[in-house]
Amino acid sequence: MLALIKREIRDNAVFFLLAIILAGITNSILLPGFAAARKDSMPVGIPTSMYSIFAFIIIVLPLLALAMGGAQTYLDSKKKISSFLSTLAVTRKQLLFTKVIAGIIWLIVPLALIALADIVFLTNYPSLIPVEYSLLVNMFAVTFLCSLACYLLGMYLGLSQSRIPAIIGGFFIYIVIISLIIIKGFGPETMMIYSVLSLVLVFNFCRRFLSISL
Amino acid sequence: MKTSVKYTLKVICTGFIILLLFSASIFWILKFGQVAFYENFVINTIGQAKISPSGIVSRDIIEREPNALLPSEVSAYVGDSVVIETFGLFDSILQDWSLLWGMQGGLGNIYSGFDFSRSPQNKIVYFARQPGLFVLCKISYEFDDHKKIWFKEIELYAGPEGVSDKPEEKLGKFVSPQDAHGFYGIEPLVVFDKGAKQFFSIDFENRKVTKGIAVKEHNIIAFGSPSKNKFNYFLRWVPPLRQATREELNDPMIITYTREIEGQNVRLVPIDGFRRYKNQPFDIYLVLTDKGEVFRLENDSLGLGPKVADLPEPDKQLNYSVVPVKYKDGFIGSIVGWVSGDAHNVDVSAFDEKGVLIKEEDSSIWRSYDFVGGPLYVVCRYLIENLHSPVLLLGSYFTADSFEAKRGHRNLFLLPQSWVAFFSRDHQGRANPLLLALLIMSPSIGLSFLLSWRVYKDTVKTGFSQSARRWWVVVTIAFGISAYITYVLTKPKEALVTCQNCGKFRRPDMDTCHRCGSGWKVPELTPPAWRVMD
Repeated sequence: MLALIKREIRDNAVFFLLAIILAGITNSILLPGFAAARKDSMPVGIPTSMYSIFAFIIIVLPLLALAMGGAQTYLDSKKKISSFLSTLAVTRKQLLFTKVIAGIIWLIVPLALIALADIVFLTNYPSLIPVEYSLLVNMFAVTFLCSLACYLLGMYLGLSQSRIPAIIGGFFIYIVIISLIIIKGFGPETMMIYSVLSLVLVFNFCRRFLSISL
Repeated sequence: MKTSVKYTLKVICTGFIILLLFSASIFWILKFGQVAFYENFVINTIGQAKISPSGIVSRDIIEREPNALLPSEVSAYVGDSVVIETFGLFDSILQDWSLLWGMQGGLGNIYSGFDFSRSPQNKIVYFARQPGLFVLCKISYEFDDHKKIWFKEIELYAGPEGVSDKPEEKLGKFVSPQDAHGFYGIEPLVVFDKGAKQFFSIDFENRKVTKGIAVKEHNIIAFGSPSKNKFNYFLRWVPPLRQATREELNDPMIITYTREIEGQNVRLVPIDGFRRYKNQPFDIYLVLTDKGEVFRLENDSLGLGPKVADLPEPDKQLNYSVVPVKYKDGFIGSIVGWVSGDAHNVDVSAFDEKGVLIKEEDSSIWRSYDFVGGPLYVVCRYLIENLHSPVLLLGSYFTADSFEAKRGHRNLFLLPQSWVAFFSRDHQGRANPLLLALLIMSPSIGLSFLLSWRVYKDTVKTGFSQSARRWWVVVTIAFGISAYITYVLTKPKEALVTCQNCGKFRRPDMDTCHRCGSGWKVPELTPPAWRVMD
């Protein structure tokens, strides 16, 4: 199973690199903003840059996740990778879990890097007054769940025979999914909607993947 | 065809996705129309209410000031982003900005002003969740090689039982301080602890905490100058005004007003006795309960004094504000303003110090035909709302009063701001508001029946079992377009062939024709009637 996950990560190395680049870009924007915030004004609370960076992440990361999910299953079926693997001592369920786990790892990488940068900054430049981290934590959680939903959507659409309608449809659904954050905010309601959406998408993908011919 | 559990789960999952996407799309179409029409046209015209003279200032106060040029005025108006402000994203960010930046007056956890441009040292009061105490600390900075180094020195801790320089257990613990007001160095910090249902006054200078009487019979939601969603709503009290002197015009700390009198812009100031200076703190606290009763907080006993104003159903209003009016050192009345939950009305009221309503004014309910594009907007909105599922529209009717006003504006499934919900709230004693609501949603019901008929026909052709057909019809009637799209996406996609017995389409994956029950006729497999005998 571990070998399968490693193979999956290797096959999608480009996307993993993109995720690390995204985290790098984010942190490079974050650092000067943080330094500027702590330079002259009283070090109270969480600097604006730590919040405003999510305006960039929440648009780019789910889009990348959608693309990665779609590319993963489309290239898989085009190059008959799963078809070959199924001739080895590998079940379809294992292939399925591998894909989903690789996707989750991919999602965690950039968010963990950004969160790590935030933790390092806040530890080395603490606020004089105790702060509430709830909004920041909520933002990370909602971004992860939104990206997960987009990734699973991408995987599901990647199984589609017709590429162009799947891409157009996927983009439209991505916009609607992102817009839920504007409507509902970064709260438990949004997390619940994205969690349920992810569950139904993973069910639909599992059902389809386990029944189609590889 | 027997419907498997997997197929049912597939339908439910796909149905949820379709319902979510469809409802979100309808939400955005309605919101776009609301912002484009309502915020650009209607608000600019009807988004204000005014009372002048307010009636709060008595005749003898005016007579004492013979130079008064204009009477007192109460006005309220709505900013042009009142709808956008209802989005959850806006809410999320604002809640935490307040926490972080400690706006003086209670939303944040920093309760005193600080101004490091005037002094490198300031005292700050904040609430520390652990250990549940208010903390007074001194914050200062020094320059080290052109870099500011900040220092914090905690001086005192205050709990319900007292003040100490250490966070001792004997100080007790504030359970959940909901609101706090005060200005360190000028007046004590007054805190309402929702958990204890009590007011406390913390005087750090004299190391004293005063406890109020427990307020168990009322559910307090805010105190001070209670307000809700005040970023796009402005309630203003203007006292009687007189002409400003030259010294007053040159003093940046004095509040001045510019008014047009006899065709000329004149700079005016409040008559003596009314608030003249900026940043002048109030020591009159009003307490708002969930039933809309406004009481005055007694500063000595920290208990609720007499009722001084009313605000109808605070939970159902989109914005509101309650402001005390002070003359010299005395409380002479209060002003209350609110915006209705659907943002269609702006109301303002003036009360005297005994809580008697003096005057009330509201903006008239707007009529669509008063505005360019108004009727078109109303018709389009009505039709788009009727694209929603009938069961959700009916749910909106029954739950019209269940949602807080702002949250109602961002619902995806149940729409408390729809026409159907409007008739639930505002049926004005009509005999059958439910029948009227059903009439309002008749296009939605009609569309659902039409789609369910199409679904029924297709399920017969496709070979669904009787119970599956019934379920699909019921679900399509209930959920309308979302159910129809779900059916189209999830129905088995088998290419049908012609049955040789009945001539209608039948499924090739089934042993018998679901219409006539005949099996497959395969002539080449039928044995001949003759045999070769050896």
